Amino acid sequence: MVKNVRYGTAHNGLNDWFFQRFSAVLIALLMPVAFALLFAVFDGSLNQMQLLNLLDSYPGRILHALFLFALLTHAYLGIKVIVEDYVHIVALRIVLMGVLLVIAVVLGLWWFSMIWAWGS
Amino acid sequence: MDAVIQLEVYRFDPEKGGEPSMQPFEVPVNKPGMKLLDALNYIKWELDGTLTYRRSCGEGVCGSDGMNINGVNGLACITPVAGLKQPIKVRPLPSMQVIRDLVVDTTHFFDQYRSVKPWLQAESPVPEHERLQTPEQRAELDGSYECILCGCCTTACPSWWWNGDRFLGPAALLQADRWIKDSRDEATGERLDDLEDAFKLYRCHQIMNCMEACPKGLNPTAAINHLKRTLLARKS
Amino acid sequence: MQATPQVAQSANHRSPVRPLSPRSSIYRWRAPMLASFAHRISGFVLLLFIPVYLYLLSALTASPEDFLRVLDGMHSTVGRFMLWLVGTALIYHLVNGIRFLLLDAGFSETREKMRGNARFSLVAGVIGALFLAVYLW
Repeated sequence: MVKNVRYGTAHNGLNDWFFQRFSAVLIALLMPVAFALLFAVFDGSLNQMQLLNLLDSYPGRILHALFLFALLTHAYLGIKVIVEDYVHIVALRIVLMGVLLVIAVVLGLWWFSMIWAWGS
Repeated sequence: MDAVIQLEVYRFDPEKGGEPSMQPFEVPVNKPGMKLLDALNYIKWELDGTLTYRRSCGEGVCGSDGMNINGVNGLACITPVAGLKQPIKVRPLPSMQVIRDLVVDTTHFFDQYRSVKPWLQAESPVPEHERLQTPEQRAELDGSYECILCGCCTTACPSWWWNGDRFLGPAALLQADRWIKDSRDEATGERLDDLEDAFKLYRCHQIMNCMEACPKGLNPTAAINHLKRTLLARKS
Repeated sequence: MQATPQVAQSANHRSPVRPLSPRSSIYRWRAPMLASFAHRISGFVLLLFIPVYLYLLSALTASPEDFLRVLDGMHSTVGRFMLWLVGTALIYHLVNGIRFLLLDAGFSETREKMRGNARFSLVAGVIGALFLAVYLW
């Protein structure tokens, strides 16, 4: 008998799938900006003061925070898909996803606090 | 074309046991437009009668002789040997339990097909003659009703290789979509309910091996995308 | 490349052992499969870059000495290589991600188009990688 017939349907997956794509759209708009800034710093066309002025403005902070949430959501859902594909021991999968969730939240808090601590 | 073609065929004998192996064969080209099935028939009838494979109609309708040909799944009976790189490597459908040589156990594949309830479900009383469709409604089914359940797509799918116990696979999902698109079917809601699952449906990552393998030129990837959109629309 | 066959126990007692037919070791890579796999790999590379990005961000916005030290680090061979790697992953993941979004939305659902735009993503990734290499060195 097919396992998924016995187990029925979990009614999940649609939200993961949707938020993966929703966050992807936000990232597609914001990620190139982040990389453009990084490369501008790299080739010297942006010095530290100019970088700080851009990042430390209110639009900068808000866009950066939005980027942060979208990126961590996208990364967490992405790694979840990979874990679901390759890790077949359910107990291990649950633990792994818990650990990754904690890592994502910690990185998010660190990042968020960094953005909003500038200039204060 | 060469007068002789080289093949390497996957062999496994459950009575002898041991590791499966690739056995080389040489087959003369005996007719224009020769198909791979003709070469396998020649081996079985003239060289080695123990070679075991499934075939029935010989013209791409029954779906019996799905196999892995030079790394891509297809039907031996409609695959011309001309144009195949030699030696032609012939293996059973991937990620299946091998019963003997090219014959695999398809039980699970058909269980998954059955699990999407591939029949008309309607509560409304049967009309005097038949349940009618407009030509447009009927055209919706083009591209999915043609499936012959040969298993080439499902066994080509890496997502199904890793999670075949739970992921329904392209063939079953194409059929699920076929009944969801059918204007006469009245169980669309339950059908969608049964599919909304991270493993049954959302393992598809647009790898598209199903589309590349389908010997009928169908596109299960597009059908799966349509299912995902339908589920999203229902919840939005 | 020939895989060692994995042996699966069968429920059928007449033949206790049925080998699993070879799969990933023998399946031929076509453009859409490569495009999907490359999307996963590039996504994983970008994932690993998140902590590095946070480190860069914290250092670049700290003291001017920190800023110059990190700038030197970015100009070292290792730094340039890392920027190249993550930039390439970004370009590919972005192009192919847009492709995936369009497919999800129901665009280009013929077999030819699906094959064609998989090739387009892969070519765009290679061109992006070359362009970045020229820019960074």
